[in-house]
Amino acid sequence: MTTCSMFELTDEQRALRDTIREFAEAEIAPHAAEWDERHVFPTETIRQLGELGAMGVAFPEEYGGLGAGAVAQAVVVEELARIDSSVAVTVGANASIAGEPILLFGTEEQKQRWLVPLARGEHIGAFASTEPGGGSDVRAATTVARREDGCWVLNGAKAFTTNAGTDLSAFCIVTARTEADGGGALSTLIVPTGTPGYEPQKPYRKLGWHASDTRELVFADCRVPDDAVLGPLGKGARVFLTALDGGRIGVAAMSVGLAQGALEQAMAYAKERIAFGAPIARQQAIHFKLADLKTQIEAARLLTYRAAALKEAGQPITEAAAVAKLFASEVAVRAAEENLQIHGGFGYIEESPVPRFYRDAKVLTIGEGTSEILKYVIARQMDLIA
Amino acid sequence: MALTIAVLIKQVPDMGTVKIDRATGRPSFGGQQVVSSYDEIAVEEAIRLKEAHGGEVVVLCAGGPSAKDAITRSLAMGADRGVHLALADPNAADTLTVAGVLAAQLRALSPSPDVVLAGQASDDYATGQVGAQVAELLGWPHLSAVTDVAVADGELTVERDTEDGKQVCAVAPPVVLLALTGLNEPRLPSLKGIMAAKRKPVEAVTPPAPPAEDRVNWDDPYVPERGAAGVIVQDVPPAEAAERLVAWLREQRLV
Ligand SMILES: Cc1cc2nc3c(=O)[nH]c(=O)nc-3n(C[C@H](O)[C@H](O)[C@H](O)COP(=O)(O)OP(=O)(O)OC[C@H]3O[C@@H](n4cnc5c(N)ncnc54)[C@H](O)[C@@H]3O)c2cc1C
Repeated sequence: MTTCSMFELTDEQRALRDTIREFAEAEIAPHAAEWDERHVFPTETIRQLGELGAMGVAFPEEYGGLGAGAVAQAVVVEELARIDSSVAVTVGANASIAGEPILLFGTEEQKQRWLVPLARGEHIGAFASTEPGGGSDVRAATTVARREDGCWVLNGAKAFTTNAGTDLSAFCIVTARTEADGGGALSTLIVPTGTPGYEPQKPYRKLGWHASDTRELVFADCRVPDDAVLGPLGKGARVFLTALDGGRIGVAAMSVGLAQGALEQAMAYAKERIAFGAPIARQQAIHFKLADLKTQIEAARLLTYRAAALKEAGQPITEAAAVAKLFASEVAVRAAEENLQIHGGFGYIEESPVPRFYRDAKVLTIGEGTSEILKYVIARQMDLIA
Repeated sequence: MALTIAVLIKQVPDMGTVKIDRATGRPSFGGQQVVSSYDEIAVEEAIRLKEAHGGEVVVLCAGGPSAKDAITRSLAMGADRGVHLALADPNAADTLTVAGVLAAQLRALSPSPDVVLAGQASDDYATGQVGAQVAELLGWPHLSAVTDVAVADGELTVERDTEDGKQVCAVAPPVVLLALTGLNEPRLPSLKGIMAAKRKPVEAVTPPAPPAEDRVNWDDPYVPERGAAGVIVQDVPPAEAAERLVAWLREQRLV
């Protein structure tokens, strides 16, 4: 664990951050507006990030990763989101809800087949839990895996699945009821994307995150072998909830990065825009907003790094991750809104990243646990409810 | 032909973050310390030559404790090992002293380098003297302003910028080459490279103390006085702007 009394990053973490920052500014920033406008998934850029090592930051070296730890992982996702949230969620979700469950619950064979190429950036993965009928209530899932001739046959539909239908997508972890053996219990299965009956629908038209891949998935007699089960049969909810804890640190990091980017845009504009004979930054109404945002972002960043440091140290993270994600995502939404407000009319025009950041921010209080659900999670950790 | 390549790098303040203190007129170097930009081009060229022909890249940096970061960055880009020459402040010594320290270390390297690469000049003091002095001390030829290097049959073909165009030279190792913009675009160290860097060896060497006499003295850097500030008339109707300008010109007794 990074024992950092100054709460500063280590030299190595800073070096990783600098590389990702330089990459994001040089290779992503110039294209982000176009990808957003045309809803393009930037396959080549994701591949390049893989070559750079960004897909395996926290995974052990023996599984193709960098072994740089959860804080470094958060820093990488944060830096990407400072420039482009779509790229950040592609990288973040791939690591936290596709790679991590395989690391934690997979057999050696599953790790070799799915995790090693994921960590090396050769393919990406998805995790499908949410259904059209509901997301927050994980245990109400209706997708079914039926036992048949030593195989599992999946039927049902999943909603809002990130990374499920790109050219790089190789597998999707699916929560399903495994009735034959586990009664009505949930299990998680790894489904290769090429399996007949694995049917990604066309991408949603989303408010934001235009350059990330989000689809409804249909399973129509989709047959996977016995060894596709990830983790203990009937314990899929545990796999999912564990993955979510880590995923929430990722969303918190994305929130910090988006908020930081928005703050930088707002500061630059406030220093340069003249009204009533002076830069608007001189107006207390404006610089107080910026000072407030700065304060909130610092707090969000520390909560996020702390949750990541706990994860790195192998400590329980359910509460810390929920606290970080709840706080950081709400800061991100506020930062995006204040940034737009400070830009006045120009903030409403799709000629700068300002409206994109505004549209991208909102999902942060929804995905991987809505703010309401996170408060419930935190209250449970506080022993206020059973 | 496998090449042993030594690269001389200097750590300098990031010129993009240097701020000028308006009150004292002095620059403040509070920002990050980086590898001087031409030196980074030299590192990149060394790595490319190694990738194409095999061999080893050794990075030498004379500087205080933070200079280790400059070496780490080069190792993260792909250099194989580093030598950190402890020199509290390389700018406190004159260039010939620094060149002497570097040349002595180059002589001690094993195997002896075929090519020594360095930047044409440093971002901070920009004397452009150290590379040439090192070559003279070693008794090797040097080529400055290098914009292309090709290796074939044990010989280097080097293109360099001259005042009125390009010059192409054939040279046999050992040789000192001074890199200029245009030679290459230095790569970003990959995340894998950064993690690998900490396992690469860095030798710490304490060179003999530099001579006490000051052969060269530098004044503190300063920012030249600004000329008189102009007057900007903005966001007023043209007729009023014209009136204000004329009034100002009269006031200044310029008309
Ligand atoms: C762009 C995008 C990408 C996504 N990627 C993925 C993915 O890769 N994999 C995946 O599985 N899912 C993914 N999701 C789904 C996301 O996690 C869910 O949308 C989220 O968990 C909420 O579920 P829901 O949409 O069904 O809303 P619901 O659960 O129906 O909730 C609706 C509203 O009711 C509130 N609510 C629900 N229950 C309670 C309660 N008990 N107390 C108080 N309030 C409550 C919620 O907070 C919310 O405001 C993605 C969503 C989006 C938009």
